Amino acid sequence: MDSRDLYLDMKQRQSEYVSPETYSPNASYLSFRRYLVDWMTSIGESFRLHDSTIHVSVLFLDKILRSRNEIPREQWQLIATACISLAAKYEEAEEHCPHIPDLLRVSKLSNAGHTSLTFREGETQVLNYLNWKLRAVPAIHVVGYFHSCGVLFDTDRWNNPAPA
Amino acid sequence: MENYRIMKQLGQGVWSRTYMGQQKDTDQLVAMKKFKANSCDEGVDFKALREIKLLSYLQHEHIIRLVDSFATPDMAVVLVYEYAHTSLDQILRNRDIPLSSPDIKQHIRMLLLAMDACHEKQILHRELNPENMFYLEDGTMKLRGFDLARMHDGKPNTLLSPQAFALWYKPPEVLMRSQHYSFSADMWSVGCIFAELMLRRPFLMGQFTELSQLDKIFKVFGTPNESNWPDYAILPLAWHSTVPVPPVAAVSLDGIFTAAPNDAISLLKSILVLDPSNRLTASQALRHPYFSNEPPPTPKGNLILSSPPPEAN
Repeated sequence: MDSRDLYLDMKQRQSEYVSPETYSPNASYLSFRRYLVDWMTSIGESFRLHDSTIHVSVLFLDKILRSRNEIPREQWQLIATACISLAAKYEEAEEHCPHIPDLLRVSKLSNAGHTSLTFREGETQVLNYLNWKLRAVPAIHVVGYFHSCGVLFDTDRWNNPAPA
Repeated sequence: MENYRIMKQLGQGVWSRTYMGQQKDTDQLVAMKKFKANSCDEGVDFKALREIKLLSYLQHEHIIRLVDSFATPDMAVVLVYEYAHTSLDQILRNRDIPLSSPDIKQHIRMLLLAMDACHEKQILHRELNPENMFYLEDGTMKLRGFDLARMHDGKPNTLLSPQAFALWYKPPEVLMRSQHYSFSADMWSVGCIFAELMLRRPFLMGQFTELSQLDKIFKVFGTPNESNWPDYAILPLAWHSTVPVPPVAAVSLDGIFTAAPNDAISLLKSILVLDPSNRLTASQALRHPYFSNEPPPTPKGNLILSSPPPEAN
């Protein structure tokens, strides 16, 4: 697989995961989305997560809240935090994943009565909402491809062994 | 869980138990892996999510397919795989199953195809052994055991743990505590499995310790030196070792694999090489003349996977 195949695969996945066709202008979270994303970004910063991890967690959140208007507003914060935790587990090295008690403290979910136990239920709920499909490709992943264009030649491989 | 019936426990690992189960609606047999409850301060199991990630990225004829995943009411993650009837380990141990040269060619070919698929997607398996090679009823080999697998970008500053690999399949650079090994490490295990298919017993059987395993390897391949492995001296174990190892010369593999055809030995010699940078890659190995020479590999549907039922009198 060369970088071009990789790019085409990314492009397809990008539009599949949160397809423009599922955009719903009536979703109740839309007017608050800006604040949710700001808040998620600042949590990502306090745990020094990669930007791409937060972008993935926002895709998770969009996918869920676009189609599930029934989720009450009190739960959005729990869902958004669970999206961050799951995106970190999927994208980051194990030692960079936030420890749940720290995450509950920083997100202030513990003030709302959440514990590690109830948070794990939240994570599981998010996994079920997403049908356990976590391979999201945000635009920021594709940027890496464009960055590398012009630096790499067609004959370059990802790894050392050149075909004999 | 309500969609499946658990039939029996198949095995137990450090982090999980596996069961044979049945999908209630379809009666389809499945293998189920239940991750043991971890501390709830970690939330949903990290290893389970990573295995889902790897397997959904690695869809291939010779890689086990994940058919479902869910959480139990007590919040343990269960992964559901297609059911495989037997493993290479069981085949090798069952003396009633004959293993001809064309059979061996098919077994190792399917393993190389699986390996090529992993390595092309920059995934290191790190636990290749006959117990992780499963077979569907139609003879298709399915590689399993991705617990220790990881994405590897090949960057030299990525550190990898020397704790991976089963002892008899562990490559010399990992035994020497290298943290910079790469896809060639898996290829050493492939070579050990190829040798085991021909010998019908594990090839390099160290006794319990890594030093004993290194000793086994050096007795066959010779002790490392400037010419057979120029980089060995910078590996942690060579660097810290104060005990001089008396040099031993390599023995000829032809003398060990007396029954094997020449082209098989030639391929084996190009995979089992002390210096990782001189081992064939999976895709190079698949282009070796061994696979195009006569006899062709046994069609997978004709592989014998279990002993014949006792003849009726």
